[in-house]
Amino acid sequence: MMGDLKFTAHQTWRSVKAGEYRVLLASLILAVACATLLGVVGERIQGALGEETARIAGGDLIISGRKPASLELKQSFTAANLNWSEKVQLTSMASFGNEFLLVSLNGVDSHYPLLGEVRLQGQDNKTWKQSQPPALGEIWMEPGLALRLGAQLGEAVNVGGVSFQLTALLLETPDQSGGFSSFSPKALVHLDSLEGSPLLGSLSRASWRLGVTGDATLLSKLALILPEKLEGHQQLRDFEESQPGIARAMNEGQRYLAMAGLVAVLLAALAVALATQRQTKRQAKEVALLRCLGQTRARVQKLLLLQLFWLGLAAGGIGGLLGYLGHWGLIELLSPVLPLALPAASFKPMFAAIILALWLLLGFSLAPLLSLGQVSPLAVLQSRPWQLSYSAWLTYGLAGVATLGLGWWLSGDWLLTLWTLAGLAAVGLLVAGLGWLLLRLLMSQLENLPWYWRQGLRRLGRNSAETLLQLSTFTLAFTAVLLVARGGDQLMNDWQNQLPAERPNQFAVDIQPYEKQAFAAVLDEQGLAHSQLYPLLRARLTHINGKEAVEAVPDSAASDNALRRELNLTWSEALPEGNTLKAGVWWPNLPAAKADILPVSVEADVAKRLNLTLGDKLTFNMAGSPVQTSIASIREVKWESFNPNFYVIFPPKVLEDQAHTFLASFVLPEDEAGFMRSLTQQFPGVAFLDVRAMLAQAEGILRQLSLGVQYLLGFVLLAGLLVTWALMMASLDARKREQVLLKVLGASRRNLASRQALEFLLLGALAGTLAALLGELLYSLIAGKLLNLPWSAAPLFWVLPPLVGALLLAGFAHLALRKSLQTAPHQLLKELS
Amino acid sequence: MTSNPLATNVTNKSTETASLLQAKNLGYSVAQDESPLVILHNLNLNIHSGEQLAILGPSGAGKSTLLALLAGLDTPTQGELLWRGKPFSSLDEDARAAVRAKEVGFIFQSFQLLPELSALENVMLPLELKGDPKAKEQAAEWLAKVGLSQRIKHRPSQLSGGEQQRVAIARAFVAQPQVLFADEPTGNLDVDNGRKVANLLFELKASTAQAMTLILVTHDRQLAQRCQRILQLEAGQLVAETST
Repeated sequence: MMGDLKFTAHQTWRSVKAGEYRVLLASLILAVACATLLGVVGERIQGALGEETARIAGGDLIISGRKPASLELKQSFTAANLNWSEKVQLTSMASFGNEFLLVSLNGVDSHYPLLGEVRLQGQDNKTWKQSQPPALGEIWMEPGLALRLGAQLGEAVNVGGVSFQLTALLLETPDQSGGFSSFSPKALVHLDSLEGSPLLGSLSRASWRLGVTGDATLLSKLALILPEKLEGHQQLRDFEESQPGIARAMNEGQRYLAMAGLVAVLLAALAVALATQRQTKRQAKEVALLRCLGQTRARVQKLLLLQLFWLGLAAGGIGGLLGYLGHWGLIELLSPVLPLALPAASFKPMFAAIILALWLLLGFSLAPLLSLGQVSPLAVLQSRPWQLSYSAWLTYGLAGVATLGLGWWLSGDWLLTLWTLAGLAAVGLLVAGLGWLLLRLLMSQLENLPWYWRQGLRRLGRNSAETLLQLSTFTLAFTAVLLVARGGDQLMNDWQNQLPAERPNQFAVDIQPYEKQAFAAVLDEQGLAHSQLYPLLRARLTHINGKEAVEAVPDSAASDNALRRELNLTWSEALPEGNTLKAGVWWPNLPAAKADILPVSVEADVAKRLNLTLGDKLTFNMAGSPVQTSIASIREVKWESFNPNFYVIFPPKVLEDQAHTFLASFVLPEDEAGFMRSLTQQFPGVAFLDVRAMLAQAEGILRQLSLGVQYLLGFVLLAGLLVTWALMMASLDARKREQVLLKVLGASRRNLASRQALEFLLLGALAGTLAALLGELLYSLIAGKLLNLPWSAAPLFWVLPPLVGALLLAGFAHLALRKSLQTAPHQLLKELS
Repeated sequence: MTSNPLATNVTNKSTETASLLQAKNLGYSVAQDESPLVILHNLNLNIHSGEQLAILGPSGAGKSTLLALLAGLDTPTQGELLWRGKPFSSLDEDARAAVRAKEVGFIFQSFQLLPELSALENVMLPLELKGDPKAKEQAAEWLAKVGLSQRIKHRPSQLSGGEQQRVAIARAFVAQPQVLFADEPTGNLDVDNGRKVANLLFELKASTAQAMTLILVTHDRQLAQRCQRILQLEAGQLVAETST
């Protein structure tokens, strides 16, 4: 065995030196480097995104409840080496002098903040960041709140009967959760400051959140068992509930990154498969010689396997190293725009690289290489025609297993892998069928075409298997690149639309009906873009279909905020911007209903959580009176629009007699602090909620995701180019042979170049057209299923592929065959023989 | 049969004017690590129109390289080659290709047929390159002459070695070249098929109306002796010229 290892190592090295494995090695190294790079960078970015997600949510795991978590639970986390922090959130009245305002009071423990830092502003507008909570008896308030109360730093402010000293203005907290569910300005105190106060008394409507962070494996295990250990009022919450817009973007982004990564490596793997084909043919002579030298088939096969092993080891090592080194360069390149500090890279992907290389080699080349042992040595040595006789089932089966395994390994998602592969296979088959029909059509018109076309088409038509394989592969590669580019483009557009340049960054709450006109007029006068002024009512959902709401909903929703808090309701004549009707009918097209039952429109997520459907009867308690309603429609709300959004909307006019205020959002430019002061003075009763910090956080994540998308797109393009190159190289020998013969027969270089260009322009344009058609078809199928994106027309993606395909293939053909076009026919003949 | 050991210097004014091809101090070497490897050394040679010339010699003597230089498939590293008295080797690749398209036919040891084309299409190639509208008819005619009228639609892989070489011969003759270069045309065939192919080659040459020049490279002394003149090549040098 050692002897064989040594022999094959030498043999492989000699072949490598002679340039024999050039294409295969290049494809393999690139596939592995690509996968490693994606693996390492993906792991780090995902890790960073995970941290960012956890930071915004306040922990990797969040347990929410109406009471504090038990000491036992906290001790169990400490014993497991997990970090935790508990906070209480409640709405209370803050007062300073004669000013009274509702505030969202957050009491945090000594471990706060669990992740990230708090940004504060002190005397002389000095700002700083710190990772400790306020000291006992101190309070930090959002600048708008302090302004409205008229409190200065150092002064005492009363909240819920407890006196606190205002020591800093709260500019940004790492945990921005709860953003739009509470329209009250925020204040932060130490949890211990609230001990014994009526704020945490038995009638308190406080909500508690325990954030836990630590070892990811342990946390994921904990997430499975924790629900059983929780008390009735507690539940495990996810990020999606607290930040639906960003969570959706992150889910889409991560899913997209996985898909793009998968496509990039699959394409590179396809390049390996193609390079193997050529390699197998080229190795036939070596095998024939070994057989002539008295080696048995079994030994020849063993030697071939060992050569594969060495190749895999070398390519895996080099590719892994290149990918690993490459990732540093990219991270360095991206670091100025990456808003996050990335966690350290692990060496795991390096080891995975070698396994990946061996896996790819075995999957794609085992069957053809082993079948080389069956070839008649005489046929090979006499240059007689020979063919590999291997089982197609074995070959395609192995390649299928290799690809599926690879897909699963990379994405960890069977559904995604199967969809991607099924899509690629369907495209391959469709293209082969269409290509075959087209070739038949062109071949029937052969006589009427000029010589260059005729000769080019003859080549394509007579080698129909090779041509269809080329066409399918080019089309597949183009389609894959198009899918990824199309998905990425739409994803980024979608995200950009979520965060338009002129998006609202201030919310104004508690605008009294008599102030409505004047408030809008002031904003208009100042030239500030603003939303319409929505009426705002508060009501509690008490009954669902006549049953107590808590009993009518599934157990999982028993402590849902929608049941525990007063809901913000509105009325509107038209469906508000950013809302889409998912089911039911919008007024005034409703069928006639009982006069005492009001139709309402309910937000889709809350309907899903509370298991509500059209026609369900909801009873709200509005200022002590029950209001009977029936669900007339269910709406999807684009929470990420940062516009005022509501869980429940009533038709206009029916609630105008109820006590209500108005709510608006508007865009405040950076340098308009003076205007805010005068606005606060002009409308002292109006509460302002500054969401700039939250927007900046959201922007940071979306920017990072967009970068990830563009970055991966680059790799997909690279892999697509690699496939094209490998395919070109696979047919290079045959093309060179043809070229030299035509040269001998007197064809000029210009003639040959034109003929070659025409052949590839035709093939590229055809592949590009088919890719545009099929890519669009496939995209319309997967956009909704995988990326949750609506399909929209993108004419550029229909026009560009044929052009780019034609130019790309013609360009590659020119590069691949340029040297042989210039070489003297005699040299080329010697080289080819 | 006469042998002239000084054949490399055999040139005179009268032959020079009637020469189809003339080599002057022709040399060819390839770069190697230290010193260049000389393949052909200082050859002087006249080939007349209509002549049948065999180049004989052991493996590695430089026969095929000489043939390639004479046909303009490569350029000499030393000396020059004249075609009908005009510089040929100094022409660029395309200009030499144009001469080949017009005046040269080729037969290779390994047939060099395009595998994706039928026998008929392979034979049509030289005519199509010239833009001949009757390529198909003429190709079919020549395939009939080489006894393959029943195999015109077959691809090379469906033909035997002898048949493939006959297709190659038809392809070489179809454009009615002035010069036919044949590089070991029987080298890949068994004795019987080799003899048949050789007979066909000489019969067809004899049947052509114009004075076609045949330049043949071979190991086979018997085949060489069917030509009017034999050049003996050894280690890149002409060591003997024999007239038969």
